[in-house]
Amino acid sequence: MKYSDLISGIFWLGLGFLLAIWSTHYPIGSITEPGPGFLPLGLGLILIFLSLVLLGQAKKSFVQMQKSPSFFMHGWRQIAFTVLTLFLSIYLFEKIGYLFTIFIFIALLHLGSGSKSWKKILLVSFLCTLGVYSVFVLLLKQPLPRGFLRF
Amino acid sequence: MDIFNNLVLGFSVALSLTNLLFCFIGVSIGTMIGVLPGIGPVATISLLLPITFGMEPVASIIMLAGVYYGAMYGGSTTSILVNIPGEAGSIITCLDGYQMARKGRAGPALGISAFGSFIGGTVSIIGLMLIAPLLARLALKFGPPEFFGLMLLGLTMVTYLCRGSIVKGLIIAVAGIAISMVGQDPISGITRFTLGKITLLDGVGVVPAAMGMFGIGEILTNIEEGVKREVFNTKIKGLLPTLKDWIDSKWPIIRGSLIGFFVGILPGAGTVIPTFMAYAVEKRISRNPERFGTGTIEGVAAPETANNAACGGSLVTLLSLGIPANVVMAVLLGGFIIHGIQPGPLLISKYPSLFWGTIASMYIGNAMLVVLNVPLIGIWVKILKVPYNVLFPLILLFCFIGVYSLNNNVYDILIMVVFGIFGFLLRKFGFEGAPFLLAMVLGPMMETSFRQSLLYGDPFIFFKRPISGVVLSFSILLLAIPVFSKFSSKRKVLE
Repeated sequence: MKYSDLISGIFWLGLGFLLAIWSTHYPIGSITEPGPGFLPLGLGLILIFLSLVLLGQAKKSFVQMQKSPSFFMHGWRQIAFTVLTLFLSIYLFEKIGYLFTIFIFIALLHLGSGSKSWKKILLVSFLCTLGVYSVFVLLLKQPLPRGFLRF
Repeated sequence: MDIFNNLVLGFSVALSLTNLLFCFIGVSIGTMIGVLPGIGPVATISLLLPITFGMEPVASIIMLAGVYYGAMYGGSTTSILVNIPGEAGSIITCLDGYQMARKGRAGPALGISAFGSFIGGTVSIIGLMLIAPLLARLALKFGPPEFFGLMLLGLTMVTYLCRGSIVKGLIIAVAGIAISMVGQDPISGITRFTLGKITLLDGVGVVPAAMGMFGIGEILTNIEEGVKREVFNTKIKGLLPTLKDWIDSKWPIIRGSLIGFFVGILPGAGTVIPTFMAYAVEKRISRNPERFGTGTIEGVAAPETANNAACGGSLVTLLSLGIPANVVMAVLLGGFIIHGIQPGPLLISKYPSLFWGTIASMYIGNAMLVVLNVPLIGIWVKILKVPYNVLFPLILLFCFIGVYSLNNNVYDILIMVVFGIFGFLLRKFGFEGAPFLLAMVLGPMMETSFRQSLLYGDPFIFFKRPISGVVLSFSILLLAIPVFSKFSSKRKVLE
């Protein structure tokens, strides 16, 4: 068992409590006539029990471990950059339309992965945008958002 | 005679030009993603689902099934040439496959894995053809307690067989069922846990969640691990195995086919466990077990046959009971539902052309794969040489557009990204994604059958009916084994 189990145990314990409390907002019913809150309440209680077991196991080995292993994180900059690019693209997708979003999306991801040649980045982004247009719009007739620019 | 007539029907469906084309597309895409580590059949099938909207149900299921068994063929190429499994089902192939490549025998290793996969795949299709209709007939007698018991057994087995702590497996499975409760209650229609969001009224979509956990999550993990692939730099020649190779591989292929199919039927076994079992059996009964791991052809033939045979096996419970045996089947179930088809005991009688057409297409697909794979290995090697930094933005782009195309809803992309981060963190904290996703798919069905069973008025109904009683007792036994083994090992230490 690792230090990470302690953290995840606390997370699942919190989630178990949240689920159990939240489910009481719905009719629980009885054992022979269960309502919509019945199973979520049961699941919440099971989650609390299991996370306590996990915490118990983690505590035992945590006593023996002086130092926590570092699980954060090789390549975290690129991971953070990728995730932020995804969120930015979601935000922009319907606002500025799919063509510009895809172009920015690919350009940023290549930039984040260490590509330094601007020519290459722009070319790849253009080709990807063209590819999506050809496959999804022309071939598959998918209605992708065009944004306020109407492209 | 019945089977013969049904097969004629199946081949008449599968041999239509459209279905042949989609079978070809499916197996080619499957092989390609099998070759590429970092994208598997779960993410690919999820990605292709929106594209199948405009297609005939038969064509789309033929294509999606082709992706699954095609991936097993492709996975071996990466294991043999790069020593990285392209697919989870090819992990064990690395041991002997890569050693064979180092000895200059990459060709026969790739060849025997292609032929073994073909034989294993064909045997499993015959098994599927014979067993699924029988099981479907039996399942017509099942009521809600039996279905609940079977689904719980499936989930317990996935949890039991997943790597690492069983407590973690259970936690993640419970979390998966809990997520499936979001949306409208299937019995009363009351909305639950939606935070007032209209998007969540239908629940959290399985496809965005699958693409997030197995597509985005996998990419983030690969970025963190800094995937570097060094393709074995040798000229691959002599793909056809020699006569001696065939003699050595004959029994491993036969045993691998049987182990793969029968273990593959078990819920939760997937394609990994049958390959490990097939390898272990060969090593155990071999006269020279010390040769395993040094580049023996039996060590490639057995697992590569088993993983393809397991594909057919895992389709048995989906097509006859409507219960997905593993996470790929769970996504495939989504594919059926999108086309308005509910897999289950009535599928074979209600949609004979779909069932028998898919089976016939699998025969054809397996033949296509063996014909395609041997000459196309050079292309797969070239694809393997594409740097990951070039590849992952393209995979992300396909996920992004693909998931939007599901419902033309930007919230689906958001769900995918959130689940991607969740899947990445799960891996970091030692949790597996498969039980979560399977629980998410089974959750609504489990809740419905659980509550319907309790409406019989007896909370012990599950144990009073023979089938559900046996199945549930087995699930409890599975969960109890780790607890007892822990106690017994403690006792041994004390003694």
